[in-house]
Amino acid sequence: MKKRLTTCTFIIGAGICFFFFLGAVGSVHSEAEKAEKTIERPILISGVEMFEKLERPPVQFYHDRHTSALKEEGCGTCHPNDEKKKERFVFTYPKTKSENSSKSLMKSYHSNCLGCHKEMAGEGKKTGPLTCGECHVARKKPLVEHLPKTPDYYQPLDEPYHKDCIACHKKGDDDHKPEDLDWKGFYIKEKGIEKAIWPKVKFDYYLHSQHEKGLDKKCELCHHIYNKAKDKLVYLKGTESSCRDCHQEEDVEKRRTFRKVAHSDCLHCHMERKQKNLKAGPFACAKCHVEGKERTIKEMADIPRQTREKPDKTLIRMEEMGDATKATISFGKKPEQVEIKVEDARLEKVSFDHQAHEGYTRACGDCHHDTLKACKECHTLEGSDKGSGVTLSEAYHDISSPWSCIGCHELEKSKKSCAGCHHLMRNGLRGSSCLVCHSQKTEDNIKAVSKLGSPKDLLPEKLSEELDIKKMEKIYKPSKFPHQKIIKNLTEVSNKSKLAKKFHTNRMTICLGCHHEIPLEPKKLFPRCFTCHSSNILYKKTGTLGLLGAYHRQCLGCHKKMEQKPNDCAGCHAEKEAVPTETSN
Amino acid sequence: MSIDRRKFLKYLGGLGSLTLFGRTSSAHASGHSIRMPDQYGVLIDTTLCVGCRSCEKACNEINEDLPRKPTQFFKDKSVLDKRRRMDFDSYTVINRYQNQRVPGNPVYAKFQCMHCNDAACVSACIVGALTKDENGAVVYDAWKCIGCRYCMAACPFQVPAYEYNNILTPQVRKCTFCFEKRTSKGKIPACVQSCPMEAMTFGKRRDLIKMARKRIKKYPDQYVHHIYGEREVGGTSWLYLSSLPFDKIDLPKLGYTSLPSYTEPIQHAIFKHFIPPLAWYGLLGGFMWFLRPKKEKTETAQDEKGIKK
Repeated sequence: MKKRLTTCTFIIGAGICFFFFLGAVGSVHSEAEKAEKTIERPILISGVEMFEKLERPPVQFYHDRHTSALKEEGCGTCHPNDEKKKERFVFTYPKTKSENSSKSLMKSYHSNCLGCHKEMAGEGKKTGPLTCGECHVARKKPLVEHLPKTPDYYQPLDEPYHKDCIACHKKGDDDHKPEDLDWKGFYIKEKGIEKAIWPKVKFDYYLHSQHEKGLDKKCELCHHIYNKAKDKLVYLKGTESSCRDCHQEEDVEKRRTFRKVAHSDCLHCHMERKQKNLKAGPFACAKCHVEGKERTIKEMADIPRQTREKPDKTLIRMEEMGDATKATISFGKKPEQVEIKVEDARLEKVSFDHQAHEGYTRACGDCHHDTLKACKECHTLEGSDKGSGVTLSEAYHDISSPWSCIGCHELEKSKKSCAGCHHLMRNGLRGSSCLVCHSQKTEDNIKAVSKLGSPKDLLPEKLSEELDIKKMEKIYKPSKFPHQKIIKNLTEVSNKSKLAKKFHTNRMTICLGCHHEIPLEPKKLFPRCFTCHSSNILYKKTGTLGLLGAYHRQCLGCHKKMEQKPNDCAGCHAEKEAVPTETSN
Repeated sequence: MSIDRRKFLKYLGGLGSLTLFGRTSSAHASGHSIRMPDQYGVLIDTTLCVGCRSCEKACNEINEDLPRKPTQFFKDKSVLDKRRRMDFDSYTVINRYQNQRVPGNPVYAKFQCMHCNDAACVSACIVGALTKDENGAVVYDAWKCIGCRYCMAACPFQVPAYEYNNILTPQVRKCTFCFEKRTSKGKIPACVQSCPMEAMTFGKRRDLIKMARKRIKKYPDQYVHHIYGEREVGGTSWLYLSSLPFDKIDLPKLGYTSLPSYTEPIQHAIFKHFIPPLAWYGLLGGFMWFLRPKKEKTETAQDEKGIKK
């Protein structure tokens, strides 16, 4: 009897173990699979321009499935040949497209897609769907990954994202127009649906250098400008710019859209090189439109500088905008035209080290948008349509924009190494910082950076290396505060960073991180913290912190931001030997 | 008397319309007005809290009627692994939440009675054991309490706890806003005083709201752009700022209308100045009197009955 019982339990136990094992293997397998699989994005075909109301949901067309299935047949199966150059394709679909009416457009799609599917089915080959609902798939779940990313602080929108999109677009203010949201498919219309679907190709320094290498630095193969007199595309050295500079969102006369140009020219070059058995780029959608990670600046550190003529160092001032600039000033009812002359400029020119800043970008477009022109050509003193209303001053100084000088510096300051001190002094363009940029008179001064000295030159002699903070003496032993060590470490961090070296001009700067709002002089004792931060926390209207909060927020805030230890109570506050009893409060 | 259908319905309709008499005003009749200009509150900035549990300790020390706990208990951080609620032995608890925005940087949130402006528990209490004080506190009077626990059912935050282990003199337990010992004497609550990060700020509610707005404006990327408690259930004395969506730190999504303003207009109207019940019974009496059987008819009816028999 006993024996039977033990065998029974053994068998059951083994069975359970086996199930767990299966489960574990299964989960590992599926996760690995997930990592391997790239996200397959459909192109949504709906012809919104022709159809006012969609009777059925847009077609979800998987391009890469078709390219791999029709590898032998080639692109010609679907795409028509170019009229001028017969060997080239025009990447439009369908082959015979008639856009006379919505019905004819629909017919041309249906006859092309279904015709092919039927033909292949007749030959007994594996092929795509033949019924309506299989192509016009109604999406139950919205395709979250297709939507544009929201800023971080709109986190609450992220999860019930669609609900909140609708909530705002229903109300319909200026930013959220109801017509911008397609209710049926739950996606945001952004000048043609396909745009929102695929991630943009980031043509960074790495990709550019790969093309330079592959094409033997023949810039003319890609870059050109339009010569009006000759009515021809010509290459002129030194005028290279981004494709989007001319090829924009919509066809302008002969200029095709960027989308058309990029697909036909890039893909054809790749194809031709493949036929000639040369090293060629990819054809599949997902190979260029790569999901997720972009190459970091560190990964591209070894890439040589691009050869286009550009300033290494430059002086930025209105000077280069012409002799005088007209500005409209209206204090009263009548707007007045005022001439601003170069001599009138009151701040010094900014000396800008172009070459040094290239190392902090992944592509020229990170600062120059879609052109390679200077900022002032679009961002005028008063703002223009060309510069989307952003004035020249804003273009350099807007703190909330990642494009502007200050905005980009602010982003840099929010990184781990700087955030310790800078997270509390944010949005801070101090008066003194203007002169850091607006100061250098000659080009030679551009690279001049200051280096912070050793803490011993700053500290008063009687100040010991380690300080004891006895605020919570009743409960804990005094906290040891390694004052000098902290200054030394922070000075090292500052001296490592180019940005810091440039802006930390005052040698007392490093003290400002903690001893804020105080006039600083070396070798002098600063006012104590409790001068402003009262040790008695009572309700105060001004919201000035108490001493307890000031200490803890200063120390722990910095430790958290810079990922330093200690970050718990015991790390600073050593326990007293005799634990105080409950009554001794 | 014979009453036809038409007449009967007419009287009934008239009677019904009279019962509406007491319901004309929609303002509900709770003990205090919702807007007390000088009421105090506390602003909790959950982005600053480090989960040290000093507030729990201070709370236990100041409230002597809570079961005593050793100092060592409050140093134990392992209790944060579990999600806790306020109970008979604690007026406030801290919970830890995973932070999806910055993994490895958990968010801590302290909970206690929210001291609602228009508290559902005050409205639900049938003996007036719970009252809203002018300084913002919702105060409990154990002597009046009969232990019906309606307050526990009414609270939208499920705060009040009950001493189920105390058989003879059980009490309802919830944060007192340190009313007796501190706030009524011009001191600040013990938990606020004890917080080393000063994550809590005690002050006039309207100043706190201004302060909270300022913080959101200054550090827009750090906060969810909402002050929890500013308008939830008609406003609460304790306000929260958070970096995570509030439902992620166990603060439920609630409407902006106070709960008593749903229930009280009906309940209070029914008994307003005792007029509606008196009117109702008076009308019923009048109706009965009107329909009373007349003498002759009763006799004939009896006769008929007799014949039938």
